[in-house]
Amino acid sequence: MDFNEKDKFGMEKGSGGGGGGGGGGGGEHLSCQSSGIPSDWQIPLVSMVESFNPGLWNNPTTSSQNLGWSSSESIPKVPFFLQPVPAALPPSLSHIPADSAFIERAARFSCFNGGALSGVVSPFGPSEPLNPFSSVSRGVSGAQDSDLNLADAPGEHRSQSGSPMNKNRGKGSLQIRALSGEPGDTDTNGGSQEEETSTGEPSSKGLGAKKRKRINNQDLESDQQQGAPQLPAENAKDDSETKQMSESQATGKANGKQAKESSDAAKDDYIHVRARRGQATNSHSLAERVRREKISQRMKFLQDLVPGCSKVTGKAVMLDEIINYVQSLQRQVEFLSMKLATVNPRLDFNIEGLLAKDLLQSRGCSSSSIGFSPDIMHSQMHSSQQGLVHSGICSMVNPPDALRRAVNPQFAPMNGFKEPSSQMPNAWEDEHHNMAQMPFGTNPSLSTQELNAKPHDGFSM
Amino acid sequence: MHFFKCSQGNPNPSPNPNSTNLNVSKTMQTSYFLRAVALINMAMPASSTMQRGRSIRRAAYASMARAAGSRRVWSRAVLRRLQHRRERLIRRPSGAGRRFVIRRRIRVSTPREPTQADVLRRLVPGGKAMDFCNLLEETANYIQCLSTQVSLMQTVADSISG
Repeated sequence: MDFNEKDKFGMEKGSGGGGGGGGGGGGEHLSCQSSGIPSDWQIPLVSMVESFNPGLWNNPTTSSQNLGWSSSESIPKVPFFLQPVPAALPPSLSHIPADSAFIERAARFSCFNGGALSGVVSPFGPSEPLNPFSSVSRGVSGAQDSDLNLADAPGEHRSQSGSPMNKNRGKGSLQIRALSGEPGDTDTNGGSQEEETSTGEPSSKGLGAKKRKRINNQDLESDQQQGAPQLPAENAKDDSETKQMSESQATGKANGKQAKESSDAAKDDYIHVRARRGQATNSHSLAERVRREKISQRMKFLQDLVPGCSKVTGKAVMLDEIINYVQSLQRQVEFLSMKLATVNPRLDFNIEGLLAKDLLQSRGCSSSSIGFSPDIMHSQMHSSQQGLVHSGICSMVNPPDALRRAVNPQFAPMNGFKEPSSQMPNAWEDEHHNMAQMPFGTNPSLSTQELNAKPHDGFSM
Repeated sequence: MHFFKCSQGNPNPSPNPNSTNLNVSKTMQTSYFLRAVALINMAMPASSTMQRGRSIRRAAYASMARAAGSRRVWSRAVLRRLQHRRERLIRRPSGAGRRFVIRRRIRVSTPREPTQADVLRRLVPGGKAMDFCNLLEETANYIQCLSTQVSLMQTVADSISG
């Protein structure tokens, strides 16, 4: 909003016109908001505003104007009520954390529609709602405050005009222009040029501080409202209901905090934790129950994965089995890599020949066996019908032992020690002795000590 | 050790490493491993069996991790470890002395005896900073890939020595 335009508009309107515009804006505001707010707790708010205001300001004109407003409509009082709190309690504001739940509650209490939560934070951008805060913090007179706050409320209203105001948009924007003229107007009425200049500069740091102050302010106000004795007990119930409603409505919003909250809400919806009879219902025990369920589910999955683990009951024994299996697999990898290293001279030729043969058989188009890309390799390995690589893949898919015997039946003594390793991981130590006795490699440097030394101290590469 | 550059620093990585299709990842694992073994045998034909065995083992883990993709914690840990090793080799070409001594932070807390979860954390790469729930999930995936790798290596060894 242009500042000059604002100023000019304010000059045209005058102070009374500002009030009238504010009244019109407030009426519009009320008509939009009345669907989202239960009507029974508007009345206590009004009574509270009326009871609080003379205590907060000693200015009698403020309270009279305030009463005049509250007779016409109740809702625009609430942002009006929000503002004086920092002037009354400035030092305690810094101690209040900017909790997101508090923001949400404050948003609900400030009578903006719960669905348009983003409108609560976004209007504190570099537009006109900044002005009232600066003037409030300087302790200007209450009349200014009231006008400024009334200007503030439709500003927020405009920012959330996406949802309810789309139908009568032209009218709303006209009113907003009329209202946004008011800060300049009151500034000229107050006669302080300093404020007018200060409102023109949107310094980012001051903006953040003001935003924080406003948020804390709303927290404080909501706390006061919750703790106020004149609130009926139904208010609390409405409170929780509207909070749930606003949480469910906040799922689509783009703001960071709200997105996080909504994701939490969605997750809560997704998990569907329900306490059975006799179970604890506070959030910690619910979360703990969810965690235990997840662990048991994964344990079941691991039970299917680890052989010889299906009969075992008990988490500790199963973990033992899992640990043994992982260790045995790592040892097997180590042992097999050593074995592949020992049979090196023929392996060198074999692997290359194997790859080249596979490639040439499958497509007949590629000449080099080394320079291929993995996708080509991948497709060719899928399409190849013969070749050792393909048989290797098949044997991975199928139960390996039968195919291994089929591939090379002359390797029967090796099979004898390979089979139990995939089925009974506990018997590995015996297998090492078997391997040591076997006429296996020709290289004497491969010994059982070397194989046994490594994998006991965790995962090692 | 330039075969790692070839097997991991591939300009065109696997087409869909995160796919849940196990067959595809198995095929990728096979191709990575076979190429790595071929490159090892080309690169270091005269080295000792232990050295070659270690590099083949590294190639096995690297092919596993590459085939598992970067979504898994353990595969990321394996690849990170290999990357660090490569960088260390580049920085310190051959026996120039250890310049950068990385000291592990000494824990002040009283040592408790390691539970089974701690043992499992040590076994699964990258599992040190995981809670128990994620540790079990990673362990399941790691076991799957590891058993695939073992059967692949057995098949290769059988086909070669047979």
